[in-house]
Amino acid sequence: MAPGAVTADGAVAFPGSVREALDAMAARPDATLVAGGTEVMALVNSGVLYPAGLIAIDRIDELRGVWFTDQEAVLGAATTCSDLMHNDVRGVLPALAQAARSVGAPGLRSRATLGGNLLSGKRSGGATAPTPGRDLLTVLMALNAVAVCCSPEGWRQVQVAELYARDGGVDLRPGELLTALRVPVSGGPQGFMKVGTRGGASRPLVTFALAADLTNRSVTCSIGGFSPAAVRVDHAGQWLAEHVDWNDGSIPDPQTYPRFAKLIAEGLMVPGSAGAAGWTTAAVPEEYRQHAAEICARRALVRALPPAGWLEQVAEYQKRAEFVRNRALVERAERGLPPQPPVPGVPQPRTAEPGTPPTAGTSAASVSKIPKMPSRPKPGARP
Amino acid sequence: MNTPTSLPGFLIGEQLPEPPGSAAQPVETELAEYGPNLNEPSPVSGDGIGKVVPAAKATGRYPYASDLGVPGMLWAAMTRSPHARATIVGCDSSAAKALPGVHAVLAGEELGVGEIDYLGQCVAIAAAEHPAIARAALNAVVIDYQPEEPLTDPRQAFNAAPIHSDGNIAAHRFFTTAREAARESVEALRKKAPSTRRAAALHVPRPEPESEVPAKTVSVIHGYEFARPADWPAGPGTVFAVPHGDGVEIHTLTVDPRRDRRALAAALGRPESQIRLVPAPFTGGAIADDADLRVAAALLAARTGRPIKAVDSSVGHWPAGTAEPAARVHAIHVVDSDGTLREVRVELVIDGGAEPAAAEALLDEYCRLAAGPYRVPKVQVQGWVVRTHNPPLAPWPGGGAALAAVVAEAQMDAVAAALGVSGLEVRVKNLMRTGDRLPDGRKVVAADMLPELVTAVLDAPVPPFPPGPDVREFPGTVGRTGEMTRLRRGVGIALAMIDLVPPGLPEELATAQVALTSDVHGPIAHVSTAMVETGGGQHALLRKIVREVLGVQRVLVRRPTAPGALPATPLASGRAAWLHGMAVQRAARGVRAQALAAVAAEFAVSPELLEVRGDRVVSYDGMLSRPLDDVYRAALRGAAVYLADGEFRVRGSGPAQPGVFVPEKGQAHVAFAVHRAVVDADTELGLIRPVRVTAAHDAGRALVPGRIEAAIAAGVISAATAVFADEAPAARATAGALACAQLPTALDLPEVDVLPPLQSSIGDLETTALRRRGFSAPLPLGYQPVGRIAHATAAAALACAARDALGTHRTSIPIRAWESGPKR
Amino acid sequence: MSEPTQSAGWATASYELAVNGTPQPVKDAWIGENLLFVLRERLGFTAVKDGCGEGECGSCTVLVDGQPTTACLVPAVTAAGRVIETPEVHAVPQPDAVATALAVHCGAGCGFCLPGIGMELRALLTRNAKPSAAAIREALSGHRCRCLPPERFIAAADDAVRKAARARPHVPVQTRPARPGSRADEQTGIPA
Repeated sequence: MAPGAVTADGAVAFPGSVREALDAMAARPDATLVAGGTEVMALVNSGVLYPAGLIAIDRIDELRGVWFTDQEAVLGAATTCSDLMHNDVRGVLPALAQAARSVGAPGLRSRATLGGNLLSGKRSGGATAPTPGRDLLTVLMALNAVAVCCSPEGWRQVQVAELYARDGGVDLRPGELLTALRVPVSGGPQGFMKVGTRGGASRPLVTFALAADLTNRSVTCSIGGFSPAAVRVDHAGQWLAEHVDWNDGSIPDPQTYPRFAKLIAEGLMVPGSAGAAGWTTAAVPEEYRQHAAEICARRALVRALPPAGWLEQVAEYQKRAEFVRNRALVERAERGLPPQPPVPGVPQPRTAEPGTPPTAGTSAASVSKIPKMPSRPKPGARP
Repeated sequence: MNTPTSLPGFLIGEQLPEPPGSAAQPVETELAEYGPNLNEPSPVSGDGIGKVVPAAKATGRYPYASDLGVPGMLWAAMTRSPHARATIVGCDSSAAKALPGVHAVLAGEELGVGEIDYLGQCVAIAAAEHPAIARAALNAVVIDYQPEEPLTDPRQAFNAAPIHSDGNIAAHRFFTTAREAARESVEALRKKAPSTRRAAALHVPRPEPESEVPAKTVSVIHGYEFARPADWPAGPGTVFAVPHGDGVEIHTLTVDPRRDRRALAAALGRPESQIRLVPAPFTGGAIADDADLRVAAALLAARTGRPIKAVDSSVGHWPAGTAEPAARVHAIHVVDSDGTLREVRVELVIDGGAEPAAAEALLDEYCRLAAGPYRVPKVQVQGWVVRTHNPPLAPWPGGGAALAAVVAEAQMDAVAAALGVSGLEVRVKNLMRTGDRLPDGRKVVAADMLPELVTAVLDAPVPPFPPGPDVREFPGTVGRTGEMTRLRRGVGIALAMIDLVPPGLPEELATAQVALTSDVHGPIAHVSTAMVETGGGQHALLRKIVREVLGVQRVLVRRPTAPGALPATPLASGRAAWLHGMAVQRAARGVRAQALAAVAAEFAVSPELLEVRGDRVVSYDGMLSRPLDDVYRAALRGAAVYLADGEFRVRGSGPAQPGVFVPEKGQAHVAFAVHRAVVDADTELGLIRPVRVTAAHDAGRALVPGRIEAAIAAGVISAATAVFADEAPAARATAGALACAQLPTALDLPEVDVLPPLQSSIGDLETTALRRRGFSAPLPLGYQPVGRIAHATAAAALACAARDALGTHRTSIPIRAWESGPKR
Repeated sequence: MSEPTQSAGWATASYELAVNGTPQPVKDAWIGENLLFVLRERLGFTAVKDGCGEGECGSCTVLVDGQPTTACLVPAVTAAGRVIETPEVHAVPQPDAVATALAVHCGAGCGFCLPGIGMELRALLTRNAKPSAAAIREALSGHRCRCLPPERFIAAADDAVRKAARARPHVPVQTRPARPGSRADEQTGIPA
């Protein structure tokens, strides 16, 4: 048997191009489409899904990769999350790279694909998904991405939001394949934030993406995690665009930040007819999501379009923090200790002289020795 | 390492072994050694963990139960009930049995299940040639349920109609020291005024003189809720069952082979002698030890006559948990205005689920430790275990000690906040001292090490505060919400204790045999023990003990091959290392006395008075000595063998005898730990990142320090899970169990800084009490209680630190970002 | 063994996996089988551990085309033609720097997660020769160690970096499955 050859009596198809994939889908309408397999296999492993056939689309070169032009970036639908974290993507679409990083652990990101992230979960008219997802969708919505779909009837380009029905379920036409996403590249500041159920990669409670386009003088933002599909909050963006000094990309009135955040949070007030994003986070109260959305919106805006003098203040904070760390180093040096505290519980290679005293802990008073944080920025400067 | 090494005659292939014609099959006891090749005869250095087993683990060669398998085995699958309370009115498994590849389907009545008592009760099992076929077969089983209204709220259990013939209240405990305190004050006054007339008058308990002028007191009242602990094993529960002639051989993780064997025999309707239980290595976290899974695999193996593999993760998750808290605690702390604790009143209700008997121990332990390691004149604890239609309560990590510590420490912080002083001040002021009483009236034998533990924790360095600049060091980590200006550090200090020998403990027994002989490489000791090595280094501990006693570097530990040898009773977790260790130590001392008889005669002392110190044999007073090598060379000449048995018992109460450890009446042996947790919190979003837990423990004797550190670390990790993991039980029906649990990742687990363990408390016993009971050595405490108390203390400390950082008094555990508590 | 079932939900495939540089034929396997099941149960690479089947615990991490991958979420048939590396290849003839460092620093735990963590660390050290503590934590965020705190693994990674810098590079040899001739060749254990 040649390496990589598969004998499967037609049960498994390995199309080499989009055309072949469409043919395979037409030939086996009951077959399951697999790119990364992270969603499909979770269902198969738990005995929910018994695939009648598989169509593996992870080797179609047309589907995997990122192509850049002056105006836009074209993201193949089978591009994996680890690919999206590549430096080239990070430089052009930082928010997308940030979102890809929060999707899962490295072992998952190496398989999970962009298309899978967008099209997983709830089907149109179907039940609520077990776990919420679609973190990348939040970013793509904020970036005005266009989805490119291909079916035997031909190509179709829609706004990425139109991939979903009103209930947040995936609404692709039968026999249609999502092949790529075209994302306009503006070069303005953009950012992604996610409040999850834990520190590491986790289920999202709220995801927020914000992109400012300095040339077109617009701000777009979207919010996800609380319902199956993310939503654009256009009225907040339009309101904000009027309050930005577009000449230097700054916001003159510090009250703009909390007001913008409030608008975002109120956008969530509209009860989603789509229901919960996923069963596992359904118990989280709406009030917290609103609150978190407000906080995220404010912080994201401060990072994207900082108030006058804000960057200097952050630099000042960082300088202070650096000072504390350096002072700890100096103190350790003065007491003859190695520069790094030993990793607790791990025997360290002996570097100190045999005569030096053992690593005595700092006294209890060291708690109070930690300098007070610099006073908060002036109320005028900080929202 | 795929075939069970305990099956020397087991054939690789379809054919099963012949039924045992002779009585040579060792089916009497669960005695097979799991990984004989992994014994380490070579001396180990440093922390005593060894090299062979870690290397096997790191390269994936260490054999866990899930790695077993033979060609021709079948896979089991299990259906769990989607209803909490129902009657099975009909059950059709004919379609499932007709599926090709399916060998056995047992459902409903065939399984002996007619009534559903809890959500997730096993209602159908199947065995097939492929795990997916087995699941498909179960999908084809049609079961008609007639659901009834379940009782899921434990608070309703008191008034609801009984759901079981034993009633809804499975246990009730009421402890109070008030009577004790009144009696003591009478005694004290009697001593002061020995006049009979006045003493008679004093028989009527009266408030103490101080309290007649009531100082201004402060009461702190809070209700605490504990969700079912989301503690997950690293590896899934796995059972590998092999039919063996008349009997069944079961390879699985088991903490108590005898108990499980008895349960299996009952479930299969077979004599115990036909069940052979082979313990498999432990996988971390919770014990992946599922009685349903064992019974299912054994039943299917007996039914099909083929080996059965049942893996928990693929066999069937619990369909749903329950959002009801598993324990509710109501605590009242009364303090003087100067911070002195006057009174503690606690009431609690534990939801025992459908099998509440197992939760009684939890309640007992809570009640004994309710007030924490503090001096409280008056404690009143009242608790209930109730029966509901919720799933049976899994073993609580850390046990009742964890619940008690979390509540007591939270209350201490609340008291401090009410008085406007620091939590540390209140704790130090009320620290328990030797001779203080537990709520059940027993006096604590030794509490002298508490101040030392507190000081040690306070002296340890604190991580520098502003984290960063890496965003992964902020709360929220890769979610990128971290903001340096909205960060607050919280510090929590917690003290906890654990009861080593509870008063109601039935006698536990361990035996061992040690042989000292020599081969061409010199002296070698052989140890036979009933202690199960589950990959946790239990045998390394025994090796260490023998090395210490005999001074012999090469020690081989094995479990006996002869049935019935080395009897041992089931040991509660936490005492196994202690009892087996003591039995081995006594056997080793017996051997030493024999081997050193000649030297003793030369020194004209009793051989029991000789000790091995370093490389010399020394008389007890240190005056006379001989090189150990010479002594052994002479003693072991001509392949001489010295053999001695050792036995050790422990009992909660009763008369003291040599060889039996019984705490003196009214005395409590308690181990202590103090932890300091440091967490950073995002004050706006409520996100928390634990930074470091510093642990100071009283470990009795730290024979294998590396193991103690690992056990403490494991306890801290499970505590971080218990305090911060968000379990979404209601979603279990549709999502994977682990995806619901959302255990902390490496990005949000704290560093664990284990300070060198204090080795004092049990040392106190050595001089007086132990000698009187015929011992001359300190008790080698096992590491298991170290892990349990580490969980209890770390959970309390992390919760306190989170409250400190968030500035709210969170009363429900786990602490979730989206819940809020009353402002301080 | 029974005849392969050709029902609608029971399609099978035969293919060849390149595991640790050795071609491993897989005959008549159900197409829904994940790479973890095929590696463990059909081919005998039991160092790949089965923890959860949800991609959550990381015990089953292997390298597919050099990328750390949770094998339980990979349809085995789609891994045909890919380069698969399991922990076994790093254990012979001698455990490599990562395995040795893990044994030294993390041997006190139960060890169930160690093979998977080893593969993750190897992938990390390949793309980042000197990872920071935070980078190691992030890499390990897909692994649930229930025994040891992350700093033990950070210490192990540091140790492995030092050892790798000192020692000559580890040359993996081609490995056979743990039990040659039992299941990989005969395919008797599991029906198609």
